[in-house]
Amino acid sequence: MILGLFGLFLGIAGWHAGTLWESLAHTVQKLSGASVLYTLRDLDFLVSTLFVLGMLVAMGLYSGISCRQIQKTRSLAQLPEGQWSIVKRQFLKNRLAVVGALIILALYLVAFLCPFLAPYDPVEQGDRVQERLLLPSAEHLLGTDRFARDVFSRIVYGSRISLLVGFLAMGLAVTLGTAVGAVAGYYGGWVDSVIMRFVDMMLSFPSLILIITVIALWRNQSIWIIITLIGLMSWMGVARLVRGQFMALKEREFFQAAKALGAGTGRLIFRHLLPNSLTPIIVSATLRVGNTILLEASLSYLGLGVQPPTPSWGNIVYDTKGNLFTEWWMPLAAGMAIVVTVVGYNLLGDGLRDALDPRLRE
Amino acid sequence: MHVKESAGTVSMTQVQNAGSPHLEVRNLKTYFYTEDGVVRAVDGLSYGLAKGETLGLVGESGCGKSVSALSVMRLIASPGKIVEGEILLDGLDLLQCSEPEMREVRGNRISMIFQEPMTSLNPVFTIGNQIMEAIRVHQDVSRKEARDRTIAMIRRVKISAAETRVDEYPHQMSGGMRQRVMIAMALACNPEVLIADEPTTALDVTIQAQIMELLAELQSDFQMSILLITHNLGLVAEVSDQVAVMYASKVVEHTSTAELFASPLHPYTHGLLTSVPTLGMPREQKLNVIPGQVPNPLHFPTGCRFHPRCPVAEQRCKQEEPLLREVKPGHWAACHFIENGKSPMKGADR
Ligand SMILES: Nc1ncnc2c1ncn2[C@@H]1O[C@H](COP(=O)(O)OP(=O)(O)O)[C@@H](O)[C@H]1O
Ligand code: SF4
Ligand SMILES: [Mg+2]
Repeated sequence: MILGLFGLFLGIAGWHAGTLWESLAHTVQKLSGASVLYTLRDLDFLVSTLFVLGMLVAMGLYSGISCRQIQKTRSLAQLPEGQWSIVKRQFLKNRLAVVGALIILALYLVAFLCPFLAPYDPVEQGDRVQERLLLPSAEHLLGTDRFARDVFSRIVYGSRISLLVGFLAMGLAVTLGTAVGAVAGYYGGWVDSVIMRFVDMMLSFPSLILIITVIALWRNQSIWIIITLIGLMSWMGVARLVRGQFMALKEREFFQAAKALGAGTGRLIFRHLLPNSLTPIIVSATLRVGNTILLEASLSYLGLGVQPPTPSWGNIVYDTKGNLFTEWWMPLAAGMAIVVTVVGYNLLGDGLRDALDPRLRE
Repeated sequence: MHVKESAGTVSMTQVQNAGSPHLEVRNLKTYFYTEDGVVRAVDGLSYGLAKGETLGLVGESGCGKSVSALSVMRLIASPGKIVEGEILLDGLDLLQCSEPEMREVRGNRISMIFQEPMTSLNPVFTIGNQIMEAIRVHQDVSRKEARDRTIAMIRRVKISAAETRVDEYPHQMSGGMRQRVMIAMALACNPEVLIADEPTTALDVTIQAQIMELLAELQSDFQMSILLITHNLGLVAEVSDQVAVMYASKVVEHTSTAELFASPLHPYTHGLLTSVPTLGMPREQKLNVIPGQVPNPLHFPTGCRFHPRCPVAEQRCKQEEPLLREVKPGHWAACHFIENGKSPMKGADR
């Protein structure tokens, strides 16, 4: 089960990192200045097609495995219900949680299948005279912006940025927060006091202002820097949670028993404390992804986040700043996209918490 | 290891060790420095556990039994501290060992099983995985070999269908089964000493009997010495060779089981024994209740800690603390008024 989760995590992280590869390819193409062998959009298509094929293969494999499992279960007659299936049942009972999960799933599908869903290239500018600021129509579902780019396509592609920021910034925050909280919770005493005072200090900084300052000083707005900064400002909650979890687990009898068997620090942390803290970590991470997405949107809205022409929901709103009343549907659509994503993550987090908490069962 | 293979050597070792116990605790003091003051959870405890024997450590709840066991394992965490004493395992003073040396002792030379089988196993791993881990902590064996040994170990603690149950999670098992798994983990590396802290208190009576039977069987197979901690005198009578009675963080009486039940010398032991019903005891005879309360380890009474509850206490008891002394050959007790092997209590020799 833990391996499965880890695999899932790696898979998503891998895909997100894949977008890094894309931007690398972009740079290589620019640097070499060679005649364009393939456009970014071709690459996109390639990735999406591979993804669809991968999904089909995975579905085939999965149904094969579950068929075999069903046969096995039948022959064993009454197998006690595993904890995983209890969690699944609890989760599915919670309608809102399922809605949240579907929203996130749909968003990931959109992000994967951008080139198939978006009718136009998101950064390509149309005819500046004829195709600028068009009203919504069948051809341009959400009209075009000042640079004659199709807004619907931009919003579709914008999902990539939000998901990327949400996942990687949270991944960084969770890793950092877990490491810090683990040290504080495991060692306790003065180590804990020092670390937790530092956490309190970090929490008392207004994160948005701090990030803006750093970006302004650095004069660098690459998406990777933004993700890193957001991650660096979001780990404190996780650290507190993990610390509290470790402190409580240290009092449990199985921890004593493990120590009595001669387990050392590494074993105690990685086999006993961490795996038993995993569910609250996952839940809180899911619930906090929304915040990181909002933070990126705020930065982009202020013009300090993702740089145009790369589309992000935040900078789509920023782009329409001057024409808010005549083109209200553009910021509205982008804003709705942000809201739906954040709500989706929160519903999913709530649902996971309820499904994974044994006290709330039955 | 060599010793176990040849019967001749075994008896030699036993003869050699007849004088010095396998595990000996001398004047152990473990204090907790809390906000309310110093809790003297263990305060001058001494006992000896002979090789291959079972020592029952009995006493009322809160008298310091668990803390003394954790002290032997050196698992006392802050704000607790072992202040003084010696813990000798075959002559090696565990209190002088470094933490890495201690990790080699835990689970390998001394193992411990706990009271709550429901919570003593890690809920996120299968039981097989946990027993394997117990082996791999101390021994560098392949996964395959560890798994084979795990299955053998599960059979050894009499869990049926070992090959399938090895992959079950703790929540799929009953309390008795989990305690068996705990025993399998504790014995996975062939320890010399097993500390069992109330191993059956949380289980119902029939399961209790099965677990004790299993422990007795494994004791002779593995040639272990067992420290059995309990508040259940009946259990002690059945399985121990020796008994140490604890009161207020100290041992007040220590002798063989037969001797203790036949002629308890300390007034506290006497009260303890007459407070449990025995088979064949006259129906009209009332059960004795020791009056008063268990003393608070924050401030023990002066002199003999039992004096506020002792029916034969005298002025001297309030001022002078009695030492644990050999009042009869092989019989130690801590009371001023045991003379010529006679208890100060009337009719103590039942
Ligand atoms: N971590 C701790 N902090 C403070 N006091 C403790 C701690 N652990 C145990 N004690 C105290 O030590 C005494 C002995 O406890 P324990 O050994 O658990 O008793 P028992 O004989 O029932 O096993 C009790 O009075 C208990 O309150
Ligand atoms: S020393 Fe005094 S108070 Fe203590 S047990 Fe003996 S008679 Fe009772
Ligand atoms: Mg206890």
